[in-house]
Amino acid sequence: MKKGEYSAQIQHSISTLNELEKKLTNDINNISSNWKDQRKQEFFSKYIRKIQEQMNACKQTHIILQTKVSNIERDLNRLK
Amino acid sequence: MINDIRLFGAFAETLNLIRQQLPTIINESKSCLDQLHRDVEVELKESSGQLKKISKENHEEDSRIRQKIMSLKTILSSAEMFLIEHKNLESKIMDTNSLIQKGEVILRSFEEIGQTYLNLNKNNSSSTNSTGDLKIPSMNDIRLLGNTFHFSTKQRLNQFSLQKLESEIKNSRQIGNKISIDNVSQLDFDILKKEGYSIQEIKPNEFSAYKKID
Repeated sequence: MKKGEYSAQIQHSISTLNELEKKLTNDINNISSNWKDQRKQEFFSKYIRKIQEQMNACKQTHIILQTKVSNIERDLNRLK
Repeated sequence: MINDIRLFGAFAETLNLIRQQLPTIINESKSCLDQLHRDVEVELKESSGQLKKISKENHEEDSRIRQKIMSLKTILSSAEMFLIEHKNLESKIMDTNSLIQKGEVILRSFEEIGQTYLNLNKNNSSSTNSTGDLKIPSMNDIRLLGNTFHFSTKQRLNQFSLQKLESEIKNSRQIGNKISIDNVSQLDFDILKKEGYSIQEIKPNEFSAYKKID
């Protein structure tokens, strides 16, 4: 990683998380539309929601960190 | 019920991918924050070194460097805070991964059970195809009266079931020289004749088939 590219690196992590989220949503939709048993689907949805929530929390933390790191990068550049 | 059990496997693969990639993502952002922390530390050290070299008379430069050091210290404490926030995230990711792993195991089991069920159905259907609706004959269904083995069925016959009947008799080592099948359907006459049986009308519309054996 090059010096001063901290926020870009975090952005890369966010992009990877976005891709994984997209893949997860796609698979969930595939299974949900194929699963006829409503009760089992409900149980399944709860599990999936938990994973989605945790992944989303991970993404949000990265987004917040990226904003903060980006501000710091700007401050560091001003000091040069 | 689910229409395509492969979806479970595909979903387990996605979960596996997430489980593999999450630690990588976390490590990447962690190493980025570590690098930021290190770089700020280095810069702070350099600035402190510069400050020592500046003569007391150069007030302007002295004040500039001091201000820079103050800013760098603020940045460094922010970078330390980021590392703490990130540390919290790491433990959450470990929880997520353990949850994902459980799901993976369940989904793989669903797929395996579904596959076993499908294989069973497939085997049953191929077994039905080869035996028709006939219960596969066993010696429990065969009675030896005199020198004739009697087998009674109201179900359809086919080549497989007739050969099985004969092999059951041969393997039983009981002594007889004739097989008689009662209640045969007219629909099975062709296959019976092909297998060497003769047809006999016992009563109107009631037939039996017989065959001499060695």
